[in-house]
This record gives sequence, structure tokens and C-alpha cells, in this order.
Amino acid sequence: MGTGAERSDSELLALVADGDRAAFRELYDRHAPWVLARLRHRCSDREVVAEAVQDTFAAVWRSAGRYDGRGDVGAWIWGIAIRRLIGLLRRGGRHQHVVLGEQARDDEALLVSAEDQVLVGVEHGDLAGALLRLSPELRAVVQATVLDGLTTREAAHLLGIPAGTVKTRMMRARAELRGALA
Amino acid sequence: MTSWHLDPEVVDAYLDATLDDARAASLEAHVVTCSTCRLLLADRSDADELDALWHDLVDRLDAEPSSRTTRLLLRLGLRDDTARLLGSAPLMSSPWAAAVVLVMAAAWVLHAAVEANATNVVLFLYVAPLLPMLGVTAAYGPLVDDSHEVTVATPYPTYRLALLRTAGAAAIVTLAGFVAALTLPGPWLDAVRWLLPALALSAVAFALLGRLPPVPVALMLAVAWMVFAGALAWWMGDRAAPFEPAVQLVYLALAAVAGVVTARSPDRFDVLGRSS
Repeated sequence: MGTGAERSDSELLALVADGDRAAFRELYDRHAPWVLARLRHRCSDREVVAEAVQDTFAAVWRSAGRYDGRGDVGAWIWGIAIRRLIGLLRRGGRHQHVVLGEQARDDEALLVSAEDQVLVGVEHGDLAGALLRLSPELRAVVQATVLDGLTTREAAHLLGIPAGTVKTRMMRARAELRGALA
Repeated sequence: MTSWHLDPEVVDAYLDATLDDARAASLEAHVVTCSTCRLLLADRSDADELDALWHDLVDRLDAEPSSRTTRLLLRLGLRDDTARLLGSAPLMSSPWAAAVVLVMAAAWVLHAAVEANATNVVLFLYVAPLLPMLGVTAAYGPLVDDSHEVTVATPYPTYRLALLRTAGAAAIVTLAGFVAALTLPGPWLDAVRWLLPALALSAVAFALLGRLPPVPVALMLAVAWMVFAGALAWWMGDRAAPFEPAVQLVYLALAAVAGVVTARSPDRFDVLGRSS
């Protein structure tokens, strides 16, 4: 966007693989803020989140060479970050405190973009409203599996519930959403 | 690229965790791919906090001594990331290496004590095939592995990774066993007679690891091997019976079957060390 000389994420990552600290710093500056914020929406323990962010970027530093160019660098980093968080929560025997559900306020102006239409689905009815009407438990499962792309088992670890429960809640959430959007 | 971007107020609300879930989800999905909005979010984040995290991170990376094994593997010409992966495998850590050496030494001493006058090395042969298999299971599982969450998220084929790690583990243990076997009294052939059973056990272990957690696999196979070898020896009235050429063919076939089973279901390994 206007800054044509700017290096792309994958170019930075290639430099990081060669041990370029400056490129690593640039990558960190680009991605650490949103990774930190997003992890915070998954876990309310600030120390655990800080550790997860550090672990994530330590892993990026060490394994930049293993990024194979498929998919967004951002998505790759997030994949590491969310699993790192799950790992930390699991090791500590803690479970995540879902920061969800307290704010089911109505907001008229929904954020819509070409990309996000798939998610918000305004053409197919008020998905956002339907999501907000889900119970916090169901919404947490939708968030973990659909938005964060976790497997059932990973979602179970993140939310601290059995994998079977994740499946049944997902089924209920799906049924409710389908009903709300029909 | 879209021309649509986030409003600063929305980003602020997100950072304060006061944005509703649906809009937060929309923002998250957008930010992953939009560098403009990432920048906006970064500008509105707590810069001091991120800076502090960065400095901790750098300190940590600088302090991180690459393990001795990793450095050795690097010197042997392995690629950096491959060397790190192998080096971080549990087998390469000293407790595990020590355990392997200990078992090997115990087998050797036991053998030397019991069979001081014998010309074969049967006792050693019974124990040795188990060791590479134990190496395989240990190199695989999350029980002993600290870095597996990162590994799972890394777009490096987990199947290849699992194979790489376990093969590395098996190779080292096998080599150790081979050296130990050569130092035993008896014909040199004895030093290699345990290799096929070891290969079969390792291959079956690897095939099973896609389906079961490591510890049950290790226990199951250890018991199965001992029962099989013991029963065969008793039945044939010859303690060396499990190592006769005809039986060796069975091991080879078993290893081949396990290899085929593994190769046909590589996606089994998508979740390396999945259970805890």
C-alpha cells in the first residue's frame, strides 16, 4: 500500500531463516501486536499469554526455514501461537477462561468486507446476530474450531472440556445457527 | 487486497476486549491477511509492553545454548532446522541416552555373567532388539517432548518429521547395540542376528504410533517380543531358535508389512503426539 519498497512477510521470513535479526524484528513488529491481542481474547492470564507470544516468536526464529510458502505468514504464525497457548495451558493444568459472553450487546453497524462476508454472512441472514445469541459455551466451541481452525482435540484442550463435548456442542451450535439463519 | 479497512475505534474496542464476539471474530479474520490493519492495530497497541516482550525474547534466544547434539549434527552437515528437530528429540537428551547406555550395559554384563563359557550371545540377542523400538517410541511421543506443540503447528510434513526423528533415534541405538554386540565373545555373525527382529519391532512400533500412544505401544511390543521369542525357544528346545534364518525371514516380512501399512496412512501422523 504505497510503500512499494517494503519487503513481504515471506521475504522477511527467508531472511530470518538466515539469522537476520533486523528482519526478525520487523516481522515481530508486524505480527506480535495482533498475535498478543488475539491470544488475550483466548486466555485471560496475561503471563501465560506473554509466554505464549515469546514461545511463538522463538519458534518462528528457529523454524523460519520450514515455512514452505503455502498460505499466509500470518496464518502460519497464528497456528503456532494458538497451539503454544494450548500447550502452556495444558502443562499448567490450567484451563482457559474464555473471554466471551459478557458483551452480547447489539450493534447495528456490522463490519463487512469482501473477505469477511464469508464469515459474517450478511447475505444469508444475520450470522453475527445468530452467533451472539448462542450461549457462551457454544460460541467458544465455534470460535475455537471454526475461527481458530483447531481440531476437536485441540479445542478440547483449549476450553478444558472433553473432546466429545466439543463435538456435541458444535452440533448444537450448528443446528442453532441453521435455525437462526433459515 | 481489499479497499475495506478497520475503523480505529473498532480496533481500540477489540484491544480493550469490549468488542462483541462476532465483530471480534470478523476483525481477527481480517487482520490475519491485511497488513494495513495489522499496522493500525500495532499502532494502537501498548508499545512498551511489546518492546519488553521483545527484549525478553532476544535475551532468551541469545542465552539459548543449542544442545551439544544439535551442534554435532550441524557439523555433520545436516540442515539447521533438521538438526534442531533431531537435537530436540527426547532420545538426544542426556537422560534418555544414559538410559539406553545403561540397558545396553546391563544386557552385556548379564550376558557375560550368565554365559561366561558359552560361545553364543543369546541373552544379549533377546534384549537388544527391544532397544531401537524403545528409541522409536520415545522419540515420538509427547510424554517426554517439550516442543511438540510447535512441531504440530509447523508446516513441515509431520509424517516425515516423525519418520526422521524416530529413524534417527533407531539408528543411534542400533549403532550402539552393534558396537556392544561386537565386543561380546562369539562369532561376529551374532552381532547382526538381532538386527532384523529390531527392524521389525521398530517398524511395527512406528505403524502403531499413528494409532496408539507411545507407552502402551512400547509395553505391548516388549511383552509380545519376549513371549514370542521365549515360546519359540521353548518349543524348538533351542534358545537361539528366534534367530534362525527361517525366522529372520518372518521378521523381514513383518517389517515390510508394517512399512506398507505406515506408508498407506501417512495422515495418521497429522497429529504428532496427539494424546497426553
